[in-house]
Amino acid sequence: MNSEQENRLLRRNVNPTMRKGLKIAFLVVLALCGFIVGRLIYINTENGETYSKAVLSQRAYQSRSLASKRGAILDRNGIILARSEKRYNVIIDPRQILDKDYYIEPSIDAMVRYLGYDEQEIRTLIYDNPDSSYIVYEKDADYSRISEYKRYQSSKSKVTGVWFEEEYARIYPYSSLASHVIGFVNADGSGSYGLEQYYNNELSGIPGLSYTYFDNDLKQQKTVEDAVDGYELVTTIDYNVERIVEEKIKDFLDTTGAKNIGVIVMDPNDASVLAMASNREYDLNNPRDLEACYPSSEIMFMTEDEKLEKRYEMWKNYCISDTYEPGSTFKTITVASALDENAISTEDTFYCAGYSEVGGWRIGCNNKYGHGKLSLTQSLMKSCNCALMEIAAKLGKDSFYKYQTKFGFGAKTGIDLPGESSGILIPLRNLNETELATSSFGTTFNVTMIQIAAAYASIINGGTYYQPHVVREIRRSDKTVVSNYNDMGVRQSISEGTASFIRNSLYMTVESGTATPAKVEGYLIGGKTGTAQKRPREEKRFVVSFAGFAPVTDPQVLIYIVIDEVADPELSSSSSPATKLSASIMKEILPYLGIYPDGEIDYHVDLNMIADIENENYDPFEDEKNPFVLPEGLDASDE
Amino acid sequence: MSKTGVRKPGAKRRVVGSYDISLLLLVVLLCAFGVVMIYSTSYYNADRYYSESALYYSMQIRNLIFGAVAMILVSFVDYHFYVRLFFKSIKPIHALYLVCMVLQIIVAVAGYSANGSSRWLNVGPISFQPSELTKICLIIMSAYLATKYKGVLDRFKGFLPFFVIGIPIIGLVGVHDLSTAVVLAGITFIPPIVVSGLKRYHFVIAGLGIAALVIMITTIGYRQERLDVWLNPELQDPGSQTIQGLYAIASGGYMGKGLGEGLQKLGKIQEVHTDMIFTVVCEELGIAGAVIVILTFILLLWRIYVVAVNAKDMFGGIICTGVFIHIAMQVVINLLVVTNSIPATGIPLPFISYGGTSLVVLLAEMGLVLNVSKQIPEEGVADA
Repeated sequence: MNSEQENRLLRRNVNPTMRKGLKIAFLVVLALCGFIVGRLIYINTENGETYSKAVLSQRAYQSRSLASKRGAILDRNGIILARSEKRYNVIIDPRQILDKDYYIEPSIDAMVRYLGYDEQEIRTLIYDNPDSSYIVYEKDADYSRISEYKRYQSSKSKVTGVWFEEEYARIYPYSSLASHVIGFVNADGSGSYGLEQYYNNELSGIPGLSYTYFDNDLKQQKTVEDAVDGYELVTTIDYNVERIVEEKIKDFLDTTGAKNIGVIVMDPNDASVLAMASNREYDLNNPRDLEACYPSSEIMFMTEDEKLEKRYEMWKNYCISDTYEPGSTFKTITVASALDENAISTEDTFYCAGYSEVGGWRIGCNNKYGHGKLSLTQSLMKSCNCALMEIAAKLGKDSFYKYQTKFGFGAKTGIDLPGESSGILIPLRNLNETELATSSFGTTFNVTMIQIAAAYASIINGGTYYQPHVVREIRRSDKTVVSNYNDMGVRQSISEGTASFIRNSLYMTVESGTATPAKVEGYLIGGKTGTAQKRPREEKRFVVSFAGFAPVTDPQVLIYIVIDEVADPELSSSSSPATKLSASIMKEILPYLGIYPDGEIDYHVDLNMIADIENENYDPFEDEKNPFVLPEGLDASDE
Repeated sequence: MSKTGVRKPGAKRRVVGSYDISLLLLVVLLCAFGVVMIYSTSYYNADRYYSESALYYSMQIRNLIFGAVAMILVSFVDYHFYVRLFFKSIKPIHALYLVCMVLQIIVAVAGYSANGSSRWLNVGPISFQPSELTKICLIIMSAYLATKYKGVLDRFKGFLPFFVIGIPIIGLVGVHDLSTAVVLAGITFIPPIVVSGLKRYHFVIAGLGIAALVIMITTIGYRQERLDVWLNPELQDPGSQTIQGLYAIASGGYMGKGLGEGLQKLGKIQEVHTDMIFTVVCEELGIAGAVIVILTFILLLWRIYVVAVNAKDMFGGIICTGVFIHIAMQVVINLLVVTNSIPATGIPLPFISYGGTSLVVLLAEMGLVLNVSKQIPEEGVADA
């Protein structure tokens, strides 16, 4: 076909067949349009209401929670023990970056230049996860890099795919210091153990909320309710006292060693805790790390269950959760009770034959040859069991039990820490002659360290029982006070007169009784030792303790030390590790607390009583012939 | 002296050299409406992602200017130019066909991915969709072939040239973009059928085509997913744009929520300013607005139909038929998709949906129709 022929063909007229075909095509289109209009009406009438609701319902709630800042925990002088810091996580969104070809290079380039990432690594990450929108690439990125990136990114529309997520990290500047008092924060932001748990509600604050909604005109509105910061806790803990105590415990562990050691330092005038420590302090910044308490060679062989168990043990606060028989430190309480009840007088004397017959049992004294005739003070100084049994018998079981509860035994003290135990007393109905006798010197019932410390505080301060506490003040982040706990007095336990006599006797005990190693040169120190044999008795395992205070004339510091199973067998039943540890701590914390040594002792000393003592340094527990064995069948479990 | 049944004896016709003004007005109306709807549907997303709420609006106006220029230029070029000898034995339509073929090959091999299918070509700062150019090319090509082989069209042999020309290029497009391939097939194969009237072999061809379509839909993964959405829109992921589009249509009622008051464009419907724009027309302007839009399209198609049947010669008439089929298919497919009458597929609504290449090519096609209308002989003028 040549082009002339073709041109002729192209000038052909529109034929009727084509007109007809076009008309049909037009009618088909009309029919389809009719169908579509029908569909529109059908959709509206059939689904109009439900779909309209669906449109509104998927609009109504679009909210996002804003993290609140957890309050800080401070020591009594304002030193920060725990604080929260804003952290930024870098989130990479490969899906967004790969969405457009022209995003890829500028976005990677910006990350390399402003966030300092490795180009190859980022490229691999993006191409390996093309469908991911949320990859936490860096935790805790520093703010200067982020702000530089943000500044650059805001001017470049092709730089995308990186987000910054804000979160608060909990920081403990002194890692393991006072770990049992402070506790730690879980990944979900709730506190575990210590103050973090007890005051979790106060510390956490109120998370904010950012949400969008539709107003009456169906216009989208955005509302932001800012997060409210948590309250701060001002504790009664003194950073330096705590530090000294923990150092001394560590020294003791390094030189002598023991299974457990607990130390409480308290202001006896309001039962506020200055320091509370044990030998199992852990790193609060890594609370799950067992390294703090166990050698790594041991951890390697632990199963996961064992590790979990060890962690629970490590996190437990020995000073408030563990119970034990207090031993002779309790004698002070028995004497104070009897004096206060007028069952005995300060002038009374007692006779010790080396044993007493009680309820058919022969209960030995710590000196099996007997202490002979003793004044009331001497019975404490020499820690005579026989005298104490006699005193308890005079007091009677009802009064004895009344005073036990009055001093807070058998119930939680209410200290503001979680996990407190209440201890176990022999109930009044079971408190027969024998049980009363053994209870008088602190055996056959269980107490916690904080109970003994609080009871001693009430005796030393002149008879007011205060609820022991760790937090002095709760305040907002702007320092306005929400509540304070300065006056936590609960009840009068004994009279001032009784208290004064006991202080004097305890001073004598340190000066020339069983607690002489607790002396610190230049200070008037009072105190009482204790040694309790653990069950089963034949294993000869001991809990030794010392409760002391200074200065005797105006008590400012109370220290209570419990050492469970001293590692050195030579010393295992001796209270001297406890008294020596007390002396080494007191020597440092007293001057720090502004209590300076004084050569002149302005105190009434009854020289006659000292003369009565045959051997000043006699410690009954060092005597291997010590017959002190409790009768069988008096286990606390028999109650 | 008229041989056409449409022209009534004695009716006044426009003089040679004038455009079909009502056609032009309808096009302007649709484009203006499209720009308004694009602003309404896209300001939220544009602000959210690009911090510039008028972004798509201003880009569509730029596209409109390009399109208007293309339409005016094309309307001044005698439509016979495309099939006249241009250089040695090459005609412009041949050259255009070759260019389209090359572009489709490039886009198939190296085109970059948008929404899982390669359809775009980047030329400097402009993203260009070659398949749109292919549409206008095939319209002219099909008209040329139908005129040339009119004598043998009532036999299968007459249909062969359309296959030879159409199948390779439609196949190239169909690999990535089935719905556009369907439109291209319509543009290429329906005009010869219209010209010759329905013949028995046409049914065979239609049957084969439908079979091929079904096989392609059912064998390719994401198309199967779309089938599931079509059958049970409410059981699917609530994020699917089909159900969100239906929410929009159903919440509009008869009178709509008012222009600009729609909620579904606020991040719920993807592609809301392109393929799904009609759902927001329904939401904001109601069934009333939707019917007016559909009527406008019908009027436009009617004007094209009138130009086609009154064309100076068969070649011009078939060009208009091709344009008619192109617009009719896109309108119908788009509306069937948004009403979930057929499975979802990406076909924009002519003149209204956002899109550069599509709008420019559509307006160029209008230029073609206008040129044909300009050459309609006045009453009494011989058909030469």
